[in-house]
Amino acid sequence: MNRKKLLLKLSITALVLLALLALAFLWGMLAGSVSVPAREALSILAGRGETASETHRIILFQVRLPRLILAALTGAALAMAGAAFQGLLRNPLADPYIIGTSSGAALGATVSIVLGLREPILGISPIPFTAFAGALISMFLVYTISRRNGKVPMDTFLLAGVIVGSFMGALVSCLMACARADIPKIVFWLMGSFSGREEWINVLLILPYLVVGSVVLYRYSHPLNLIAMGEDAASHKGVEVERTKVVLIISASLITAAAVSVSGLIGFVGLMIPHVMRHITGPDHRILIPASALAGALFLMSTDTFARTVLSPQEIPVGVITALLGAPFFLYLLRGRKAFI
Amino acid sequence: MTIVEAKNVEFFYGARQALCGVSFSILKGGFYGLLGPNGSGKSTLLSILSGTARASKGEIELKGKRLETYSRKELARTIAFVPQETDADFPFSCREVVMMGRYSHQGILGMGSRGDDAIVEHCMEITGTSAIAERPITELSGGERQRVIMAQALAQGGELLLLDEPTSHLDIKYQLEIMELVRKLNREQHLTIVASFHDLNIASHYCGEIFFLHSGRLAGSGPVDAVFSEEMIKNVFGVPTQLIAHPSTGRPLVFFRSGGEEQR
Repeated sequence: MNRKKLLLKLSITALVLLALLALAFLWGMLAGSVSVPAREALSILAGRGETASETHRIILFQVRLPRLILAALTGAALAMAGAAFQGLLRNPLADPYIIGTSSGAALGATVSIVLGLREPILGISPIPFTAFAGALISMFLVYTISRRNGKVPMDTFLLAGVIVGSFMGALVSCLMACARADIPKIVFWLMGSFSGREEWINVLLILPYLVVGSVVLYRYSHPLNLIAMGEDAASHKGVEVERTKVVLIISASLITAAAVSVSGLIGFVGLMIPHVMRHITGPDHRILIPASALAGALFLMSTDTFARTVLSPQEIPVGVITALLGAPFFLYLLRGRKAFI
Repeated sequence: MTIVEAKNVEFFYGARQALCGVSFSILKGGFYGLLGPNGSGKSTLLSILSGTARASKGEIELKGKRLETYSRKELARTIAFVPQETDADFPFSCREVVMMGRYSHQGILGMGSRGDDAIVEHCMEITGTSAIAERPITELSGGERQRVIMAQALAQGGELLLLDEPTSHLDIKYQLEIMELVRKLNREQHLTIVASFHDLNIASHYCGEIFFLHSGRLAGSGPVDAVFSEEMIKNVFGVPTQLIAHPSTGRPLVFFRSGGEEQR
């Protein structure tokens, strides 16, 4: 695909998704347990709300807006990581939640919470950092366990991911049992929710990780196309396969960890979004990765707004909703495959 | 002109020696066939030549330069490799797949190489894949897919084409179709061909030179007519055969004799 065609396809996809994203954003800003009249909300958003109430202004800018942005960033991160893992493993069933990256990140973050490491050390907040370390350790384990004679068979990789994931989960439970005081905090966070995390500081906390991770991921999106066609074949075309794989796994783990450290365990976004987008845009990762990012943002913004308004004032953790949608989707994919690779 | 010069190449898989001091040269424009039983070292030799495996001992020069000094991209611009079979898990269109052959000529994000579109069209024309350019690779038959992979290899713009049993998964019609295509690339695009085969008659029909490999050693090499003999095949494969001349080409044709037949 030449530059012109690529840019054209990218722009069309981006425009459509951005338009939908704007709608989801408006819905998220307007809906909630405290009703802010639409006219007033719009004028506040447009910066002309001199007559608007201060409470409403705070609800919009300090509660709903950061929460929407967190949901968008998390959705984008998980969907991009999913797209990268699926290409890398040549398996459309891969997802950071299923192959253990998220559980590793959760363990890392739990360690920080239990140890009471909240305040930044040398300007670096410990939670995303330990989450990243946990995600990397988990991926390293999965990769090493499933590697046989220099090859990583995909069924083994998925199984190893599930097993390492449960092991990490068990370690999280173990830590919770040891640190009883923190249990409610950890449990709530593990369920996967943005409730109580709608602070601007959280956005700033994960943004650098996300930016670095996704820039690197996109930089390697073209060699990823070749790897998706087979590692030996990619190598014969001139791709430095081993190096590319390591870079991609590290950057996908980095953005997964950033997402997990603010939102807990939100499953199946990384499975469903790239899969749906691949049907729409085709498998080229130069388009699929940015398209998945936007669609992931759209999806998680909308499901989160749904989660906090459907039983209002009660909230459902958004992770519950994505799992309710995602598990049947996974089974549908599993049944639809001719052979399980 | 020599394109590959190999001296005393050895290769070990752990403790097992897969190649024991193999030396040979490949001349530019030649059509070489590798023959030998399973485990004789054919695939190992091809993966060493293609750069995915590195010889444990010995020297290989490609166009006068040591093979291991080539970068991956440089190598991809000189050598292309067609495997037995290509699994496709993602529905890239055939055109996209052929374009991937241009990877080593492109910059970041596959941009920057101007003539790529024209080259891809040309390669698809030569291989007869223009009509299926927009179809997803996942939906093709084995023979069609192998043609697309050949177009991709051709798009790399190299001089040496390695093929690892390129026809062993295909029925006879596609086997011949692929072999005619390889011959065309050899004659018209002046690609040097090194291919391994299981089928002795296909090799005899298409190759100019043959290397017989047996337990990691070169058991014989030379032009087809000179090197094909009942003794050689008996030595290398351990089966009794009878050779006759092909009625129209005069090339050796191999007939297999069963034990029972010998007694009769």
